[in-house]
Amino acid sequence: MHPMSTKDRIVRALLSLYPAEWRREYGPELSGLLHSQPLGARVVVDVLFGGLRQRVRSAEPWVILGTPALLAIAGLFAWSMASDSRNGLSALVPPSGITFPTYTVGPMNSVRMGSYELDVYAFLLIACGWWTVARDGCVRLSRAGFAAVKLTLLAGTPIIVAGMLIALSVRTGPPSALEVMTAPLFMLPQHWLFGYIGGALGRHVPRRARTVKV
Amino acid sequence: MARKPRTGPASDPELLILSSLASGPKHGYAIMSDVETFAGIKLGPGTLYTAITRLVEKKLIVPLSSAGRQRPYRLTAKGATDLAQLLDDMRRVATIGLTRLRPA
Repeated sequence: MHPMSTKDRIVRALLSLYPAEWRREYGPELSGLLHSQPLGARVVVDVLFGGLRQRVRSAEPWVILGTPALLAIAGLFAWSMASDSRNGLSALVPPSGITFPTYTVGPMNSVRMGSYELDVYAFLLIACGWWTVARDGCVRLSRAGFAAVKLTLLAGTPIIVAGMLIALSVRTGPPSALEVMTAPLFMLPQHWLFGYIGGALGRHVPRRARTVKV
Repeated sequence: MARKPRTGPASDPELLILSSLASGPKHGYAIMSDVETFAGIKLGPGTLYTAITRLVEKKLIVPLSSAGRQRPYRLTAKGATDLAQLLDDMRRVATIGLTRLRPA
Protein backbone atom coordinates (compact mmCIF):
# COMPACT_ATOMS: atom_id res chain seq x y z
CA MET A 1 0.00 0.00 0.00
CA HIS A 2 1.39 3.40 -1.04
CA PRO A 3 1.77 6.09 1.59
CA MET A 4 -0.54 9.09 1.13
CA SER A 5 1.00 12.06 -0.67
CA THR A 6 0.38 15.67 0.34
CA LYS A 7 -2.02 16.02 -2.59
CA ASP A 8 -3.97 12.94 -1.45
CA ARG A 9 -4.29 14.45 2.01
CA ILE A 10 -5.48 17.83 0.66
CA VAL A 11 -8.03 16.15 -1.64
CA ARG A 12 -9.27 13.99 1.22
CA ALA A 13 -9.58 17.03 3.52
CA LEU A 14 -11.46 18.97 0.84
CA LEU A 15 -13.86 16.09 0.21
CA SER A 16 -14.56 15.79 3.93
CA LEU A 17 -16.15 19.27 3.73
CA TYR A 18 -18.99 17.80 1.66
CA PRO A 19 -21.95 15.97 3.27
CA ALA A 20 -21.44 12.18 3.52
CA GLU A 21 -24.45 11.44 1.30
CA TRP A 22 -23.09 13.75 -1.43
CA ARG A 23 -19.62 12.20 -1.12
CA ARG A 24 -21.04 8.72 -1.70
CA GLU A 25 -22.65 9.89 -4.95
CA TYR A 26 -20.06 12.28 -6.39
CA GLY A 27 -16.94 11.88 -4.19
CA PRO A 28 -14.94 9.50 -6.43
CA GLU A 29 -15.60 11.69 -9.49
CA LEU A 30 -14.54 14.92 -7.78
CA SER A 31 -11.53 13.19 -6.27
CA GLY A 32 -10.50 11.92 -9.72
CA LEU A 33 -10.94 15.39 -11.19
CA LEU A 34 -8.85 17.00 -8.46
CA HIS A 35 -6.08 14.44 -8.94
CA SER A 36 -6.02 15.14 -12.68
CA GLN A 37 -5.08 18.81 -12.31
CA PRO A 38 -2.73 21.02 -10.26
CA LEU A 39 -4.22 22.04 -6.90
CA GLY A 40 -3.84 25.82 -7.02
CA ALA A 41 -5.31 28.23 -4.46
CA ARG A 42 -8.18 29.06 -6.84
CA VAL A 43 -9.16 25.39 -7.19
CA VAL A 44 -8.93 24.82 -3.42
CA VAL A 45 -11.13 27.88 -2.68
CA ASP A 46 -13.63 26.79 -5.36
CA VAL A 47 -13.93 23.28 -3.90
CA LEU A 48 -14.11 24.70 -0.38
CA PHE A 49 -17.05 26.93 -1.32
CA GLY A 50 -18.64 24.03 -3.21
CA GLY A 51 -18.51 21.99 -0.01
CA LEU A 52 -20.02 24.84 1.98
CA ARG A 53 -22.84 25.23 -0.55
CA GLN A 54 -23.62 21.50 -0.39
CA ARG A 55 -23.61 21.61 3.42
CA VAL A 56 -26.07 24.51 3.42
CA ARG A 57 -28.27 22.82 0.77
CA SER A 58 -28.44 19.55 2.69
CA ALA A 59 -28.71 21.09 6.17
CA GLU A 60 -32.00 21.11 8.08
CA PRO A 61 -33.74 24.51 8.37
CA TRP A 62 -33.15 24.58 12.13
CA VAL A 63 -29.39 24.33 11.56
CA ILE A 64 -29.39 27.04 8.86
CA LEU A 65 -31.45 29.44 11.01
CA GLY A 66 -29.99 28.32 14.34
CA THR A 67 -26.34 28.92 13.42
CA PRO A 68 -26.69 32.70 12.88
CA ALA A 69 -28.90 32.88 15.98
CA LEU A 70 -26.18 31.09 17.97
CA LEU A 71 -23.52 33.49 16.64
CA ALA A 72 -25.74 36.51 17.42
CA ILE A 73 -26.37 35.36 21.01
CA ALA A 74 -22.67 34.49 21.49
CA GLY A 75 -21.75 37.94 20.13
CA LEU A 76 -24.26 39.71 22.38
CA PHE A 77 -23.01 37.66 25.30
CA ALA A 78 -19.36 38.59 24.62
CA TRP A 79 -20.31 42.25 24.10
CA SER A 80 -22.38 42.49 27.31
CA MET A 81 -19.65 40.78 29.33
CA ALA A 82 -16.98 43.08 27.86
CA SER A 83 -18.99 46.24 28.48
CA ASP A 84 -19.93 45.31 32.05
CA SER A 85 -18.08 42.32 33.44
CA ARG A 86 -20.10 42.28 36.68
CA ASN A 87 -23.63 42.79 35.39
CA GLY A 88 -23.16 41.75 31.76
CA LEU A 89 -24.67 38.33 32.20
CA SER A 90 -27.61 39.73 34.20
CA ALA A 91 -28.38 42.07 31.29
CA LEU A 92 -28.50 39.15 28.86
CA VAL A 93 -30.26 36.74 31.19
CA PRO A 94 -32.79 38.89 33.11
CA PRO A 95 -35.14 37.43 35.77
CA SER A 96 -38.34 36.18 34.25
CA GLY A 97 -41.86 36.62 35.47
CA ILE A 98 -43.39 34.32 32.87
CA THR A 99 -41.39 31.13 33.27
CA PHE A 100 -41.00 28.87 36.27
CA PRO A 101 -39.04 30.85 38.95
CA THR A 102 -35.93 31.25 36.85
CA TYR A 103 -34.27 33.54 34.32
CA THR A 104 -34.98 34.07 30.65
CA VAL A 105 -32.69 34.64 27.67
CA GLY A 106 -33.18 38.25 26.54
CA PRO A 107 -32.49 37.87 22.79
CA MET A 108 -34.82 34.88 22.62
CA ASN A 109 -37.71 36.90 23.96
CA SER A 110 -37.96 40.26 22.28
CA VAL A 111 -35.97 43.05 20.75
CA ARG A 112 -36.77 46.69 21.40
CA MET A 113 -36.67 48.82 18.25
CA GLY A 114 -37.51 52.41 19.09
CA SER A 115 -40.84 52.31 20.87
CA TYR A 116 -41.74 48.88 19.43
CA GLU A 117 -41.14 45.54 21.08
CA LEU A 118 -40.58 43.02 18.30
CA ASP A 119 -40.51 39.31 18.82
CA VAL A 120 -37.79 38.75 16.23
CA TYR A 121 -36.90 35.37 17.68
CA ALA A 122 -40.54 34.25 17.51
CA PHE A 123 -40.53 35.06 13.77
CA LEU A 124 -37.38 32.97 13.42
CA LEU A 125 -39.12 29.99 15.09
CA ILE A 126 -42.21 30.42 12.93
CA ALA A 127 -39.97 30.61 9.83
CA CYS A 128 -38.19 27.44 10.95
CA GLY A 129 -41.49 25.55 11.32
CA TRP A 130 -42.77 26.89 8.01
CA TRP A 131 -39.56 25.99 6.16
CA THR A 132 -39.44 22.47 7.66
CA VAL A 133 -42.93 21.68 6.38
CA ALA A 134 -42.57 23.56 3.07
CA ARG A 135 -39.27 21.86 2.26
CA ASP A 136 -40.11 18.30 3.18
CA GLY A 137 -43.69 18.35 1.90
CA CYS A 138 -46.55 17.12 4.03
CA VAL A 139 -44.84 16.25 7.32
CA ARG A 140 -46.41 16.06 10.77
CA LEU A 141 -46.76 19.49 12.38
CA SER A 142 -45.13 18.19 15.57
CA ARG A 143 -41.95 17.82 13.51
CA ALA A 144 -42.06 21.57 12.81
CA GLY A 145 -42.43 22.14 16.57
CA PHE A 146 -39.45 19.94 17.34
CA ALA A 147 -37.40 21.71 14.65
CA ALA A 148 -38.03 24.98 16.55
CA VAL A 149 -37.01 23.27 19.80
CA LYS A 150 -33.75 22.10 18.21
CA LEU A 151 -33.17 25.65 16.94
CA THR A 152 -33.49 27.01 20.49
CA LEU A 153 -31.17 24.32 21.89
CA LEU A 154 -28.58 25.24 19.25
CA ALA A 155 -28.96 29.00 19.68
CA GLY A 156 -29.01 28.66 23.47
CA THR A 157 -25.64 26.86 23.58
CA PRO A 158 -23.68 30.01 24.61
CA ILE A 159 -26.04 30.49 27.58
CA ILE A 160 -25.70 26.83 28.65
CA VAL A 161 -21.90 27.11 28.31
CA ALA A 162 -21.98 30.33 30.37
CA GLY A 163 -23.86 28.44 33.08
CA MET A 164 -21.22 25.71 33.05
CA LEU A 165 -18.44 28.30 33.35
CA ILE A 166 -20.24 29.88 36.32
CA ALA A 167 -20.50 26.41 37.90
CA LEU A 168 -16.78 25.86 37.39
CA SER A 169 -15.83 29.23 38.88
CA VAL A 170 -18.16 28.52 41.88
CA ARG A 171 -19.44 32.09 41.74
CA THR A 172 -22.08 33.03 44.31
CA GLY A 173 -25.03 35.39 43.94
CA PRO A 174 -27.73 35.62 41.28
CA PRO A 175 -28.07 34.28 38.70
CA SER A 176 -26.86 30.88 39.80
CA ALA A 177 -25.24 28.40 37.39
CA LEU A 178 -28.37 26.20 37.35
CA GLU A 179 -30.64 29.17 36.66
CA VAL A 180 -28.49 30.27 33.71
CA MET A 181 -28.14 26.76 32.26
CA THR A 182 -31.86 26.05 32.43
CA ALA A 183 -32.92 29.48 31.09
CA PRO A 184 -33.13 28.35 27.41
CA LEU A 185 -34.74 25.04 28.44
CA PHE A 186 -37.74 26.69 30.13
CA MET A 187 -38.59 28.35 26.82
CA LEU A 188 -38.84 25.09 24.89
CA PRO A 189 -42.63 24.47 25.25
CA GLN A 190 -43.40 28.01 24.07
CA HIS A 191 -40.92 27.69 21.20
CA TRP A 192 -42.37 24.31 20.18
CA LEU A 193 -45.72 26.10 19.81
CA PHE A 194 -44.19 28.80 17.57
CA GLY A 195 -42.65 26.10 15.38
CA TYR A 196 -46.01 24.31 15.22
CA ILE A 197 -47.73 27.55 14.12
CA GLY A 198 -45.05 28.04 11.45
CA GLY A 199 -45.59 24.47 10.27
CA ALA A 200 -49.35 25.05 9.99
CA LEU A 201 -48.65 28.15 7.87
CA GLY A 202 -46.21 26.15 5.74
CA ARG A 203 -48.94 23.63 5.00
CA HIS A 204 -51.53 26.28 4.24
CA VAL A 205 -49.51 28.65 2.00
CA PRO A 206 -48.43 26.21 -0.77
CA ARG A 207 -51.98 24.81 -0.92
CA ARG A 208 -53.30 28.32 -1.54
CA ALA A 209 -50.56 29.02 -4.09
CA ARG A 210 -51.44 25.85 -5.99
CA THR A 211 -55.15 26.79 -6.03
CA VAL A 212 -54.38 30.25 -7.43
CA LYS A 213 -52.12 28.80 -10.15
CA VAL A 214 -54.73 26.29 -11.34
CA MET B 1 -10.53 30.89 -27.96
CA ALA B 2 -13.92 32.49 -27.37
CA ARG B 3 -14.19 35.78 -25.54
CA LYS B 4 -14.83 35.21 -21.85
CA PRO B 5 -18.26 36.49 -20.72
CA ARG B 6 -17.56 37.75 -17.19
CA THR B 7 -21.12 38.11 -15.96
CA GLY B 8 -24.67 37.54 -17.15
CA PRO B 9 -26.73 34.54 -18.16
CA ALA B 10 -24.15 33.31 -20.69
CA SER B 11 -21.71 32.53 -17.85
CA ASP B 12 -24.19 30.49 -15.80
CA PRO B 13 -22.54 27.10 -15.00
CA GLU B 14 -25.80 25.15 -15.46
CA LEU B 15 -26.38 26.62 -18.92
CA LEU B 16 -22.76 25.97 -19.90
CA ILE B 17 -22.95 22.33 -18.78
CA LEU B 18 -26.25 21.74 -20.59
CA SER B 19 -24.79 23.32 -23.74
CA SER B 20 -21.72 21.11 -23.46
CA LEU B 21 -23.80 17.95 -23.05
CA ALA B 22 -25.93 18.91 -26.07
CA SER B 23 -23.21 17.40 -28.29
CA GLY B 24 -23.23 14.07 -26.41
CA PRO B 25 -22.43 12.47 -23.03
CA LYS B 26 -19.30 13.68 -21.24
CA HIS B 27 -17.65 13.19 -17.85
CA GLY B 28 -16.63 16.02 -15.52
CA TYR B 29 -13.19 16.68 -16.93
CA ALA B 30 -14.45 16.62 -20.54
CA ILE B 31 -17.23 19.10 -19.64
CA MET B 32 -14.66 21.45 -18.07
CA SER B 33 -12.40 21.30 -21.13
CA ASP B 34 -15.32 21.72 -23.55
CA VAL B 35 -16.72 24.74 -21.68
CA GLU B 36 -13.29 26.35 -21.63
CA THR B 37 -13.01 25.82 -25.40
CA PHE B 38 -16.41 27.11 -26.50
CA ALA B 39 -17.07 29.77 -23.82
CA GLY B 40 -13.60 30.68 -22.57
CA ILE B 41 -14.71 30.01 -19.01
CA LYS B 42 -12.72 27.74 -16.71
CA LEU B 43 -15.24 26.15 -14.35
CA GLY B 44 -13.75 25.22 -10.99
CA PRO B 45 -14.30 21.59 -9.85
CA GLY B 46 -16.47 22.75 -6.93
CA THR B 47 -18.62 24.96 -9.18
CA LEU B 48 -18.88 22.17 -11.76
CA TYR B 49 -20.11 19.54 -9.32
CA THR B 50 -22.46 21.96 -7.52
CA ALA B 51 -24.11 22.64 -10.89
CA ILE B 52 -24.09 18.94 -11.87
CA THR B 53 -25.80 18.05 -8.56
CA ARG B 54 -28.54 20.63 -9.20
CA LEU B 55 -29.04 19.48 -12.80
CA VAL B 56 -29.34 15.84 -11.73
CA GLU B 57 -31.87 16.84 -9.03
CA LYS B 58 -33.88 18.75 -11.63
CA LYS B 59 -33.69 15.65 -13.89
CA LEU B 60 -32.16 17.70 -16.71
CA ILE B 61 -29.14 15.38 -16.90
CA VAL B 62 -28.53 11.78 -15.79
CA PRO B 63 -25.33 9.93 -14.90
CA LEU B 64 -24.50 6.92 -17.07
CA SER B 65 -23.01 3.80 -15.58
CA SER B 66 -19.25 3.55 -15.92
CA ALA B 67 -16.55 1.16 -14.78
CA GLY B 68 -14.06 3.97 -14.16
CA ARG B 69 -13.97 6.74 -11.59
CA GLN B 70 -15.38 9.33 -13.96
CA ARG B 71 -19.08 8.85 -14.77
CA PRO B 72 -20.33 10.43 -17.98
CA TYR B 73 -23.52 12.52 -17.91
CA ARG B 74 -26.21 12.64 -20.57
CA LEU B 75 -28.82 15.29 -21.35
CA THR B 76 -32.38 14.06 -20.71
CA ALA B 77 -35.32 14.84 -23.02
CA LYS B 78 -36.50 17.41 -20.45
CA GLY B 79 -32.99 18.87 -20.31
CA ALA B 80 -32.87 19.22 -24.09
CA THR B 81 -36.29 20.89 -24.20
CA ASP B 82 -35.45 23.31 -21.36
CA LEU B 83 -32.08 24.17 -22.93
CA ALA B 84 -33.66 24.81 -26.35
CA GLN B 85 -36.33 27.02 -24.76
CA LEU B 86 -33.77 28.97 -22.73
CA LEU B 87 -31.44 29.53 -25.69
CA ASP B 88 -34.37 30.56 -27.85
CA ASP B 89 -35.44 33.15 -25.24
CA MET B 90 -31.86 34.41 -25.00
CA ARG B 91 -31.59 34.66 -28.79
CA ARG B 92 -34.84 36.64 -28.98
CA VAL B 93 -33.65 39.12 -26.33
CA ALA B 94 -30.19 39.34 -27.92
CA THR B 95 -31.66 40.00 -31.37
CA ILE B 96 -33.91 42.77 -30.08
CA GLY B 97 -31.10 44.30 -28.02
CA LEU B 98 -28.63 44.24 -30.91
CA THR B 99 -31.21 45.67 -33.34
CA ARG B 100 -31.95 48.55 -31.01
CA LEU B 101 -28.26 49.23 -30.51
CA ARG B 102 -27.68 49.63 -34.27
CA PRO B 103 -27.73 53.28 -35.41
CA ALA B 104 -30.85 54.18 -37.40
